Amino acid sequence: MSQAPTREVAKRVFAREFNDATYTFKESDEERAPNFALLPTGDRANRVFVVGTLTETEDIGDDSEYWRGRVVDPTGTFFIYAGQYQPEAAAFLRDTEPPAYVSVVGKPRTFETDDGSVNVSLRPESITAVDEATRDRWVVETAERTLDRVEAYDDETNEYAAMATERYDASLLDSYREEVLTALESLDGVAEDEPEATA
Amino acid sequence: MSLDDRAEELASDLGVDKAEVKSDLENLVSYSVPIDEAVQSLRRKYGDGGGGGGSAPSEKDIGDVTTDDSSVSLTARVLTVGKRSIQTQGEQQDIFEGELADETGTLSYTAWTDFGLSAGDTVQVGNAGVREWDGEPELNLGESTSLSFLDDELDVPYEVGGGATLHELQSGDRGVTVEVAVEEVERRTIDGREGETDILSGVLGDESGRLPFTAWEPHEAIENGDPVRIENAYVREYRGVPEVNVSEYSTVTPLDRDIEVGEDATQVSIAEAIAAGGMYDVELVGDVLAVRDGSGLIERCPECNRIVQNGQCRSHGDVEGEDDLRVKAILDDGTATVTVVLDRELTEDVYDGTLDDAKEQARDAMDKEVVAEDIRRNIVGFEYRVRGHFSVDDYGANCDATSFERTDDDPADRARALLEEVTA
Repeated sequence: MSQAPTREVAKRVFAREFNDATYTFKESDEERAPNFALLPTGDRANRVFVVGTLTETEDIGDDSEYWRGRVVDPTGTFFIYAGQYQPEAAAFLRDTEPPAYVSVVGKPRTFETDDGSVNVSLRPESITAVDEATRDRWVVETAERTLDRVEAYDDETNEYAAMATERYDASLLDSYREEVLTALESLDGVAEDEPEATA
Repeated sequence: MSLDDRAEELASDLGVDKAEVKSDLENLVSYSVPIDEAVQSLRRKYGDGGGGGGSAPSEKDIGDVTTDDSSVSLTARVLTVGKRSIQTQGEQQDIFEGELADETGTLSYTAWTDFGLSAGDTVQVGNAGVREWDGEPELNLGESTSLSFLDDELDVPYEVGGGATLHELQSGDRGVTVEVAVEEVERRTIDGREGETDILSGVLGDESGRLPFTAWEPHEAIENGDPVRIENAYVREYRGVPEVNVSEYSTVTPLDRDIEVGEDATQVSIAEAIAAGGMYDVELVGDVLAVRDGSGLIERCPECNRIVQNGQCRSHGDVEGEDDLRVKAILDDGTATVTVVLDRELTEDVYDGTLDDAKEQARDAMDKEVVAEDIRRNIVGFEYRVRGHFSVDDYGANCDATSFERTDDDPADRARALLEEVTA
């Protein structure tokens, strides 16, 4: 194995699971150590890749621009926040007329509300406009990765699954699996026209 | 094997009283010492008849050999033997390298003396040194090693003889046999150890893919470009990708059949390509997640082709840079990431304009960055099928792209295939 430095892989995760990933942790005490969100399917995420439909944008800033965008996938909504430190992403949210297919590469962030619940959001590194086929491919890819994680959950060596068992309700896994299948069936041209089935 | 049996065996090995050995053994085991460790411990205690404090190495399974072992004895099948000549302390020496195997695994070896090994032999090896090579244990067979050939053939779940397809080869493989077409070949004169010498270099191909090669002797069959069988070659990393090395000890014979060279590059995950330490001519499918700095309209040094920044070349100082286009894109397939490098031609495709267009756009905007921005908008967030040469060095993984195409297959087909797989 090579020791070459590698960039953190972007995890493919559906909105439902992403919003459930309320527990974050660091793996070292170094000042610049990356922050990870613990995915309920038993993996860590420092970066995620999302493709969905931008349905609403709103400038919620007081003094300076602070944009919030909602990006919807078959399971739920990602909340994207971009301010002065993400000028390109903020400009994109300002200039784009929803609805639009978008891809977002970003970092998970958590925020504790006044009532003590934890909200998970996405701080974008980039947002770009894409097409429907790219969004559909992302759904398939994310379905595959999610099922892989669910499958690897019971491996004894899976330390993040062990961590997830401590932090989250394990019954979530079954609902994720169900949602993945529903998401796949929801794609255009998947569920319809099954000539063999009617024959 | 019961504790009683182990005690009996140990007692007879060591030539000591069985009752004594058994009580020692029971004592250690009652202190939660694993039985194998306890046996080792008693061997050390009773000196194992070896004397001098050191114990003779015990017979091990290959799967159990670790870099913590200093020496081992084992019974194994010789999978491959490659002969190579090296310089040690100014002396030319022939060494033999290859792989051994038993049911539990394989192990590389280097034989510093000629034991007359050939592929397929079953051998009992006594007192072979273990050293660490690239994090893995490797055997040293030297003058203090005893080696005997056994008549009973050891059955191993590995192929004997080192026959491999190019796709299977990895840097460090030795005693390799391939049957290949010579796709490209050129003769070059280099300054070798013994003055000027001619070598051949080029590209080999088979059904599984392609690899670059160097032949340190200009074998005629290779130079003619005929299909050949090459025996006893070794594989070494060169510029981040595996390269087939044909040495003076390699046998090259022309083949009287044609070799179909696969037109499609093998598709691998980025993690696999990194784990292999680099691969020649592979296909990756992943999402472009970023376009790195240093992309778009750039300047190169007219002397060395390196990137010029602020009119300065790292090697040649103040130079008049030549304009060029390139892209360094981060490709991420969910397993790992790699920097894909696009040359001018591929960059013109994704920019949707020529170098002159780019210069004009930058002049109008009075900013070169606008070119990279356009490229970023065109490719980030989309899935691409990339073909190219994958290398890994201290700065990370790179793929020099020979083609870079947006995927255009129907996502519904993929969804149906996945559904079938999981609901079957």
